[in-house]
Amino acid sequence: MTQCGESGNNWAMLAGKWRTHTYQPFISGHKERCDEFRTVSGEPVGPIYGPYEDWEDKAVRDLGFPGEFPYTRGVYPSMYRGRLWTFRQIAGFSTAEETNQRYHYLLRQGQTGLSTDFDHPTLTGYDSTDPLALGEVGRLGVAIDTVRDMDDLMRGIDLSTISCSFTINHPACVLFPMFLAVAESRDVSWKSLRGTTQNDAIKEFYGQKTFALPPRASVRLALDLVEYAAKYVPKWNAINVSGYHTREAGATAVQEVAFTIGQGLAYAEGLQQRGIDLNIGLQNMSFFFGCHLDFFEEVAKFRAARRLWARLVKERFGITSPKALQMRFHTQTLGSTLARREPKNNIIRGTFQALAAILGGTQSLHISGYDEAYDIPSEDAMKMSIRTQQVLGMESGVANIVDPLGGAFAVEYLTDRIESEVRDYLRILEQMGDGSFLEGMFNAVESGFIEREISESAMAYQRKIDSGELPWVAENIFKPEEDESSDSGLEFFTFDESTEEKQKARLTEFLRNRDSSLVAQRLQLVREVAENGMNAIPAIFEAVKVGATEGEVMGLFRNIFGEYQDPAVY
Amino acid sequence: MSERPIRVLLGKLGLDGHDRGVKVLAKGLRDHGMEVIYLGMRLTPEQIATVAVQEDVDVIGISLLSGAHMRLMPALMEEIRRREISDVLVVLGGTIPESDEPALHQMGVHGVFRLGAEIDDIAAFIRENVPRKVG
Amino acid sequence: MGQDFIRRVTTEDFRAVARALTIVENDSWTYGEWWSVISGRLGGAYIVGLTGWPGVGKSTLMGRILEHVSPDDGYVGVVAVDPSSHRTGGAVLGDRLRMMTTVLQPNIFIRSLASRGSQSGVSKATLRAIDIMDAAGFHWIFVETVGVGQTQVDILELADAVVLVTAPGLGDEVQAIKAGILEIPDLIVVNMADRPEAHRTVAGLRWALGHSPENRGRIIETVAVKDVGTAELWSVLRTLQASNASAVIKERRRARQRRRALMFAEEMWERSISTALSTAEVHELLYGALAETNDPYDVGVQIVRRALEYLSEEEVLGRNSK
Repeated sequence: MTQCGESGNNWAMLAGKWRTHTYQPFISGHKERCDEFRTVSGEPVGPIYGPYEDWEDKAVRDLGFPGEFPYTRGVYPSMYRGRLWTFRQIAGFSTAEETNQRYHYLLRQGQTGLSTDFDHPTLTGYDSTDPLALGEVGRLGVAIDTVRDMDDLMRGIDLSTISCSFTINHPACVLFPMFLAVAESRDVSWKSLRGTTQNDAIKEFYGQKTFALPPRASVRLALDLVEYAAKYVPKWNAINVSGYHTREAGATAVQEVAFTIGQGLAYAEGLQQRGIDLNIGLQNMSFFFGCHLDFFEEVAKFRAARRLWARLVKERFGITSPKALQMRFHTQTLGSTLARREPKNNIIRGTFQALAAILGGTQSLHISGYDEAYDIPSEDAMKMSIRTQQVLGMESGVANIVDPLGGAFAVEYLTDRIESEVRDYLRILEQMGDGSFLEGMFNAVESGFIEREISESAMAYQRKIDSGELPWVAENIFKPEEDESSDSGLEFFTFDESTEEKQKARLTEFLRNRDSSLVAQRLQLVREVAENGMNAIPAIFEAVKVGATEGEVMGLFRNIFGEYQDPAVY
Repeated sequence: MSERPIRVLLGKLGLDGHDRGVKVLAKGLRDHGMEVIYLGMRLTPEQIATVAVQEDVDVIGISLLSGAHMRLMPALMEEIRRREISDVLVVLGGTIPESDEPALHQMGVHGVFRLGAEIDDIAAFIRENVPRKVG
Repeated sequence: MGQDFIRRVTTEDFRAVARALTIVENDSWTYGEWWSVISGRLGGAYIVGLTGWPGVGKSTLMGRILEHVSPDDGYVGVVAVDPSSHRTGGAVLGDRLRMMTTVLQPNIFIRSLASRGSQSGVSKATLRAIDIMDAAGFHWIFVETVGVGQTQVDILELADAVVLVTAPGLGDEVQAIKAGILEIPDLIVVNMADRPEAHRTVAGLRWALGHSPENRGRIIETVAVKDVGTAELWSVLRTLQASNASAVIKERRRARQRRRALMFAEEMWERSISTALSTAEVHELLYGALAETNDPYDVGVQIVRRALEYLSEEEVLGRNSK
């Protein structure tokens, strides 16, 4: 990259002079805090950045204008001057009825979209009565076994106006049909349904790690859902390509973007192989990132990701439709950045992380609860997160100028560097598949390549935290003398230990009242379409509508496709 | 007989997939000279105890971020008792509220570590508390 | 622990087997003490060495083989060796993580060993571990090694049958066989055989082994992650085991006796030397060398003499030599 210009350029010459005559002598007398400053991801940063030599060309080429290719400055021309990002705090715990109450609470506080966290048995495709579910039913998310649970989850929610997001991946092919069945039973047109199924099968193998099926089978079912939704539920974001969990697993900012874009390109390829016009197909694909603590690195990350995605899908697939070129994404501030000691400090962390996401141009936002290191968020923590968003959006004025950091030399430099380093990773992934990203991602998963990369970054980060090289207030510096959470004066979420029994009883009662032979018939149909390679969604829809459970359908798939053995790279 | 390396079994109980911490710990304990038998995730108490017997480990380290520790740990401790290997040191890490700690100690969990615990501290705890078996 | 303990170590009690393995892994002295009991109980197990470069999927393959083991196959033991960190001496032993599906099967026992430094150290501790399991009554013992090269030669001395695992695109082992560097293993498994370049690897191996029908049967293609070809591999191994009495096996078992003799000699010598080194007399001699009053060569000779005296006087390796 050319920066600071050639000799003869007045600014470059002056900058050189400043470095030698002003800066160097100064820091030899006033030592800087570190010998070398680095971002959270470990990238070195200099003291100042100056204008590029071809500044105006660069502005045209790499920045452009909001709402125009390459979308560095945002996907919409007026961005938050039109509508603020969606305040979307995720919720999910215990039974469907209890989560539904939390939904109504959040909507009363001014939340503008719903988002659901599921418990581990639901995420991994087991019913609440399964022995493997012991102790985890409704614990870290809501337990959904049947269409009745889904109906209770959505009780009193107007599905035609509120957008609903589901953090579910391999079993998305079962839960989405349950949601459709609920809409049908309430005479809500599928055409009016808005929302998202995460349905990102690939990242499960190294990010969230709640996989249920092997890579190829899970991607096939994910794409079945995308294809089906495109036809019958056109406003639905059928796939939410996610980097959040990858970052949470320890990836750097570059790795987070690289693997996420790798996933996105893999799905795009898969859709193309099915004969779907990507100009339409990619319109229903959205993205999801985490936001870490390094402010400028994060802002740059979002801008780089958006620009690179637009460029890549244009280069690779010849996409022309603006909506298909635009990377629209949700952001969640990373739970792992929040401290256990002095949890109120996390409100500050959440605030500037959210600001980074806003300045990076996010479409929706969740601020992790300040009590994240203790348990699932309390009502108060979620209210605080919504209030933070409201203050940032409505009081601070940051939403009134589009891409206000655009053109800041340091931010542009970081944006360029992330884009270029992500491209390096993508080349490796492409090579691993002999030119195909879909095959490349399968190989990168099965060989443990991605896990190894993430695991090394996680280790490096941990060392820096342990050594204090990366300061973490109240955790590795300014540690409180008393390490008692009770001193914080905060009320944490208390889990109702009777949830498991309650949910098991609900399920048992439901199973008693359904037409078992009809369910068996419909499940047989699911088996047939799964085995002969047809789109499985219609058959699943017919099965869950008459009462097939999530565990029954996923169990059937495990039976057909086998269970995935984690390569467990460390 | 010279000092032999401490053998540690590390794994995750239940369906929780957050394995970043346990992997970092595996490498960290290796760097402290221990031999870590890493078992990965989605394990049942019965599996962990069976492996602990075969590997004759000095320490069982469990990582749990699912909040299910008060259901899963008693089941594990019962399996350990049943196999008569109660001399093994049991260490638990993860999102464990302080209020659960007395009950965990009561059932035989020796060490409890929360988010933010440093590897050096965990290694030191193991070193100080491991029951040295006479060869 | 005395000989009473080792007499109680049988497949009926995995906890005792495990404890005995810990003891002999760390302590050759007790092994020497137990030897007279162990030696009378050896020979019942069929020992299979699984070798190959890291990354070819040995552990996954091993895990799949175990999935095909039935209760009728008797007791199956696995010794999985992983490298230790040279820097810290610690290790992450991750092999058995790929063998978790059969963990609750009552006739399967798996033990992870860290290589702990030297190559010859690996084979000595491994040999002692194999002997314990053999004496305990296991019918099969699989040994998964760290890599090939030196250990490849070692494993030929430890095992009744050697399975070399390779994968398409690596070529190293294929080259080594072609060049006659490696002795030909009993079986060669081409794992990950669904990769496009697999046919080239197989063709290269066929060429290297020659075209006799016997050699043709030595190559088995598998895709361990998809459980393809692993049932066949297990059935081929069982056929090999059935021909247990062959001259080759006898030859290998004799080689193992030679190996044990060398191991005892080395261990006894190391012990005598270290006993000698710990005496005040030797300390004084060494100090003399340090102060340049004694000639280092002479000091060396005197230390060896002391060691020899210990060897003839003292109890060595668990037994009184007198």
